[in-house]
Amino acid sequence: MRTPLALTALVFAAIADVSSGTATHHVVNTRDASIAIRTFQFSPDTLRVKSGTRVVWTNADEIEHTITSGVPAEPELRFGGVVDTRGATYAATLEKPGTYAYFCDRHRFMHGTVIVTR
Amino acid sequence: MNFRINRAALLAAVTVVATGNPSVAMGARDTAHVHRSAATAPIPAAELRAKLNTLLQEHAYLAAGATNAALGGRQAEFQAAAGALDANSVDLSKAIGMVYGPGAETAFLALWRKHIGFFVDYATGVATKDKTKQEKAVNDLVGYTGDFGAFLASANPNLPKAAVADLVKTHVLTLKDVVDAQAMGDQKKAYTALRSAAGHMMMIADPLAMAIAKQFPDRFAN
Repeated sequence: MRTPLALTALVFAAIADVSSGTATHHVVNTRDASIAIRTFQFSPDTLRVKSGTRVVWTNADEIEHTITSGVPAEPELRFGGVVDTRGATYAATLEKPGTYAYFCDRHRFMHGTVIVTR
Repeated sequence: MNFRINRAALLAAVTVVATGNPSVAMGARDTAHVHRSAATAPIPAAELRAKLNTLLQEHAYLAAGATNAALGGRQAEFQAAAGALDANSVDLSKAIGMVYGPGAETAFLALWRKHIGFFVDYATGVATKDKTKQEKAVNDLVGYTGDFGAFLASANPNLPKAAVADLVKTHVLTLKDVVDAQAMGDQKKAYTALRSAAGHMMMIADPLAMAIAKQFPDRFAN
């Protein structure tokens, strides 16, 4: 069953190890790490970043996607957002080292991973 | 100038583009040959067009075979047809992957299989006379057309999302006509509808081939 997006957005806001997590049109600066969403793929599908790096997902598809942490069978609610159309972005700064899987809740075959190191 | 999909343009294209190339008979299993050629010399655009037409028409016929077997309760035949239909899906995704890479191939296959799943849901709803299931499947299929349009529009700027979605919607509706006729046991109507459904696949295959050839003129000649 799909996770209600409005509810998960509220939950995401309360997660301590994500210092930001909003879906809007961000300005990408040089200290950001970027993930493109194009032809229903996260690219790169695995991204390694240092702790505290802001990761920005940018939707290049003309359709809504989500960035939902966890895997479809087990959403983790660590971070997540909706990028509703082409050009929309979502950003999250992952502070805690670890491996973060995520997927698109509308197209559950879309998967990605962010690996955060110290 | 962006390539615009409309029936008039398609009719003009069909008139202009020759189909006499011997490679028209090339089947979906020859993907490796095409891939190898892509590294050395441009592939004739007509070959791409013929390949996509073959695969998409095969899709319509195999889908109808699967639904007819399912509605008739012929389980072994259904499983065989469903297996062949999925092999066709894999071949189609390989053709996409040949142009747009392995990531797009994987995404396309997942997306393509989704609409087949929705069709299975629809056929199941028809077989069990479950109106709610039928309506949900139709809604899922209509929603899917937007996803499919977005995928191709993202891959190729010459393919407007709305135009692709509209063409796929017609594919869905023409195949739905086939399933409805099969369910009524009206074989004449079913096969007439199937010819229409299969014929319509050209409306998707031709603009897709032309848009790809336009996007990669160094890889697809003429």
